[in-house]
Amino acid sequence: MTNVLFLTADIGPAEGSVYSDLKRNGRKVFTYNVAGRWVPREGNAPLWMSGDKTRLSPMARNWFTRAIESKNIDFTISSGLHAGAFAANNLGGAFYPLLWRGNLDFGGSNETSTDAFADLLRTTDRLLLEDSWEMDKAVSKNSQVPHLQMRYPSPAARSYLTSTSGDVAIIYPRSKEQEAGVLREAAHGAFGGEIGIGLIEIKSLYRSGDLAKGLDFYNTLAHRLEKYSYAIILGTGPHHSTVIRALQHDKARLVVDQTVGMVFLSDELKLPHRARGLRCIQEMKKILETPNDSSISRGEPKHESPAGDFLETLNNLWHKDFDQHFEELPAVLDDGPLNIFFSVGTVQDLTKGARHQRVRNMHDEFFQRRSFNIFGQQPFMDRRLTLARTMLKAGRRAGVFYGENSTSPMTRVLNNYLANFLTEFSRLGGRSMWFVRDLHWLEKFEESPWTDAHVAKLKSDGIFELEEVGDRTDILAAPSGASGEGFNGLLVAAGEKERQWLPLPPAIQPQNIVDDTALVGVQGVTLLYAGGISEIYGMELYLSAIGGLDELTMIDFVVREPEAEPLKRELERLGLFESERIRILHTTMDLYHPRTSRTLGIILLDSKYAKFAFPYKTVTMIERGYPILCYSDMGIAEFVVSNDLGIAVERNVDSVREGIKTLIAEGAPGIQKARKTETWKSRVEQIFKILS
Amino acid sequence: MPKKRNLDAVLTKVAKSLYRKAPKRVRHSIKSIVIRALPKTTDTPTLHNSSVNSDGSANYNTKLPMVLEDIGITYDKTIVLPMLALENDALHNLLRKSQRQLEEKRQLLSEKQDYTSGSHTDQRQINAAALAEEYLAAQPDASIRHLVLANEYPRVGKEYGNGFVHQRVKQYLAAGVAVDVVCAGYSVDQDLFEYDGVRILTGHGEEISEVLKRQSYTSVSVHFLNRRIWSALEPFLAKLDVHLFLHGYECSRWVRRIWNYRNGKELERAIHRSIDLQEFWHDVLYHPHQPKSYIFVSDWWRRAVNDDMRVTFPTNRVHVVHNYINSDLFNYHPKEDEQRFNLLWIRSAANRNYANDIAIKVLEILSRSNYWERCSVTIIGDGRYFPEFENKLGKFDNVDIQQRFAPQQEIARLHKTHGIFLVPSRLDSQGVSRDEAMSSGLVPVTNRVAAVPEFVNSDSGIVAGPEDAKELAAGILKLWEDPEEFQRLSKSAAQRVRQQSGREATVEREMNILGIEAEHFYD
Repeated sequence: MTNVLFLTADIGPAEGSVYSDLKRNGRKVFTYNVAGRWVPREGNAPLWMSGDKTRLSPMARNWFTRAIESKNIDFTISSGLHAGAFAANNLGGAFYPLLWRGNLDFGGSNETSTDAFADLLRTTDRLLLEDSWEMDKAVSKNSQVPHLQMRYPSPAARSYLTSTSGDVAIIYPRSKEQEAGVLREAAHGAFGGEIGIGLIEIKSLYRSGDLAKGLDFYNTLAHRLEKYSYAIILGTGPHHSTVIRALQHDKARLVVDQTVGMVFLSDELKLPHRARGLRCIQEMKKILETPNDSSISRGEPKHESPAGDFLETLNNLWHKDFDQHFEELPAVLDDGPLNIFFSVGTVQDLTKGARHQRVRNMHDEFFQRRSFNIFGQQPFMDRRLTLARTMLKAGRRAGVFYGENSTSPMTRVLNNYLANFLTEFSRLGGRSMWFVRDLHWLEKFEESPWTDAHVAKLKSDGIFELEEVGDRTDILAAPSGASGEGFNGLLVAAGEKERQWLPLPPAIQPQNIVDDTALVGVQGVTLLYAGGISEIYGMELYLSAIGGLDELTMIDFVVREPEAEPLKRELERLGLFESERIRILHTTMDLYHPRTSRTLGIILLDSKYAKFAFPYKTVTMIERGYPILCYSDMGIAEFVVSNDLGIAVERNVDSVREGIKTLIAEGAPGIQKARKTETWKSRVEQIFKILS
Repeated sequence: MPKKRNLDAVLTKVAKSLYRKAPKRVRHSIKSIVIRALPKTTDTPTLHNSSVNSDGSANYNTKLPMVLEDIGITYDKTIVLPMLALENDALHNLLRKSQRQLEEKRQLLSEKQDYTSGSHTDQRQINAAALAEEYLAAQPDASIRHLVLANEYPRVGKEYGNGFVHQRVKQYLAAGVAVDVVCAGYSVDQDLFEYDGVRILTGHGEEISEVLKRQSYTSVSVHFLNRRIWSALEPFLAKLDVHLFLHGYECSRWVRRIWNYRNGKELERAIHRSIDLQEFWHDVLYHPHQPKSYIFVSDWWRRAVNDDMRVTFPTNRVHVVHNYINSDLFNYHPKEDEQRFNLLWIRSAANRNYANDIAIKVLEILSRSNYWERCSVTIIGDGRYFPEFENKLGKFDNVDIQQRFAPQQEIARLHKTHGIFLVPSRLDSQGVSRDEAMSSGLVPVTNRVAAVPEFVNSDSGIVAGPEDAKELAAGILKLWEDPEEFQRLSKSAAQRVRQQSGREATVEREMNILGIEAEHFYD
């Protein structure tokens, strides 16, 4: 019999699946939780074996060596970052480290995790990571070892959501507890009272106690989900892949929240129901209301034991040789032209912030085309540019390079580095586009937060980036035609030449599309203002205009918490604050839940910035189906009016008030069309079409 | 009995009081008389059984006689060890954090200082560049080119310095590999010299950078890594295959050389150096481009360095490769029975780890035996403690003591005329001189300490417990009485060395690890 030491830092479904696979294949498994105990309990580990640092001390190594001596361990698997660090220190190597999603989500100030990853890196010669996003994180944390795609224990081919109750489980990670509550509330409103909605914290689907009793993960999962017919899986985390893989035979009754990581998995498993935020409820409602899809009696529920041998898979994988910088990415495994998605900022799993959302959505669409990610930071550039060069040198054709700058320019060193690569890429026949988010460093602010020296450096580095990188590409793009005009104005004022700009505005993500009529039964109208209310977004005029509106019109503000107080003061001044019509919320737009079935999106920005900008909230309003009210001198006015997405008004109280009334009466007939034509997918298609 | 104790206490109190009241001159005289009357202290450990525990392990009480009450008078004995160990661990973590911060500040400062006092550094750099040019220009090239870095290299007049590194270089060269050698250390002058057909470039470390800027290598091996070498290598690590040989001094804790410290100051310095080394090795192991392999001469040494440096070397990068023993040079000829009376000691007596004091004790015991007259002893070596041989054994006509360096060829010749190799030890990570003697068929007489049991057992030598001179002497007496046993051990010793430290098990394996396997081996 093979003896396996299974090191864990925590126990949940991911660990349960590994443990169950080992047991099923006849292995004797010794599970040790690196928090200082055997599972099931066995003897007493010294107190210091549970200290974050002392458990990695020489005493821990020697104690643990003695503790496992009699167990005759043949193989060791570590699950999670801290278990890997424990193995690195106390075994010195010869173990299979599994890193799950989220294990690398820590900042540089988290010394324990930073040291743990350094420990792991110095000991292992390869890392198993869940997907390309996790590999991105490993690169950003200076991993110099090959990155391999996670191999999972084969799930049992069975159905779990077999109850005839019709109840829906919302399965969430602890970090999304609040969001799960919001969704449950929305589900009650949308599905009606007769359907039960249960909240299940994902880790509770397999607990430490289950492993201590030697329970099989798949049987336990079936038991924990036995009263549900449907499930929504929210967020992301170390156990999501395991649970979703297990539930793949229930995919017709499953909605998966499209966090960055889940996008990859949803593609792999061809999951039909994908959404973000409140759209998850709308998507589930669609399943519930479509008898063909929702029939749980359709076909026989599957119930077959898992096959495969996880340990054998790992053994085989560890016997293969890989180049030091190899990464098992779709882009690397592909043999078509090498397409590159470059962004100065990394991809983040955020549903707020214009820059983050743009980078994320663009990234997701490029990922569909098996593109290779490079981010404008070290050590990213070193490792990924090396790998890109290796692929090109090996004969891969150069395809499309699409890059986005950030709110601050890159350093000259990085710009030079990228410029050199772009030269090589072009020489090999590659075509490229450089999207400029803004050129704020050329603007003159009355009250700049920076010193003169810093402003001068920003300006100089910004121009350098535009000339060395931007001008080296085939096409320069801007958020809109107006933005391009604004950029040229700034450039000329700075003594630079004008450029030609391709408008490439933000777009619609279909998974964000929500129709409030599916969620809210109350007739009426809400005016929604979402965004900052600082100087740039001054709104005195709007507040004055709503004072004279119909008392039945609801008014919502979705603002950041620090801005709530000044807003309240302003509302108090106008005698509006105590009104029940008014709500000040701090949610993200994907979770915004209006009180009425109709909502108008107010985008009335006051500053010079608005003249050239394309505020991201414009597409958010379209995703939510909210007709837009904007000023006629704003950069988005033409886009809004010409596409029948709303109306543009003059900068005075009467005009704003009249505009609101008109929008309430007429709506925005162009929204449905824009949701189909102005998508991120179409943007990327446009890029490839132009550059091919 | 209590009355007696009380009286002693009173008398002591009175004596102390009188002493304190006495004039300074008188106090000084009293002190001198007392010191002369006391048993003479020695900086060598006692060789009697008091330095050996009942289980045969070494007893450090003679050097560090510490009792529980020295730590604290209120602690239970079971808590003291974990208390100190855990505090030590926490202090190390704190120290590392503080040193990181300090290093950042130091770097900022040194950038400024370099700017102001750049001329000295620049000159050294210019010299290093010129030397590197000159060195490389005259070095032969080959398809496989390897760089050897070390802290020092043997040279005429200083032949003891890293002879085994030189042996390796000769082996690589013989296999057709082009080998460059650069040495760097804090007190190494910028120089270019030749030793036994090998050209060597030396200096403070800039020479390494200059060579690496100009020449690419299949791989680099480092012996006795120090900060100078590491700093010079660091900028090139991402693109270099670096292999570290861990021999001893550069990665061991102060306790390994406890026998050498003559006073508290030396002890303190050694402890500080150990802590510095621990931090240094931590930096090396945690470097994003850490060395490709760590090569230890024995498994015991690997475990010892893990303990001493408080790190865990990654097993996928660790190799245990013994030092090569040249069995062509140290060839085996069956010994004559009478040769069992010819004892040989050849070693450095520079420190107590080589246990010349135990060797003396063994010979003193043997001198009282009936066989002593038939015995002939040759002692060759040098170092701080070597004169002790003359002091203690100079009176014997059959003991030939020569304070000098003996080259390899001569040692091989001496092996031919001797039958027993007296090589007691306190610390050997392998024991190259012992293995060479075994290769020639000499029966080694040594202690069961450190890595010794990995290389010698009772089937291939006389092995006694730590510090146990009596057992060593008894073993030799047994051989004197039993020529068959002598023949058996002699043959077995020669065989074991060939199997364990022959070319295939060492040089060929090592060259394979370094990626410099030659197409032809030893034409």
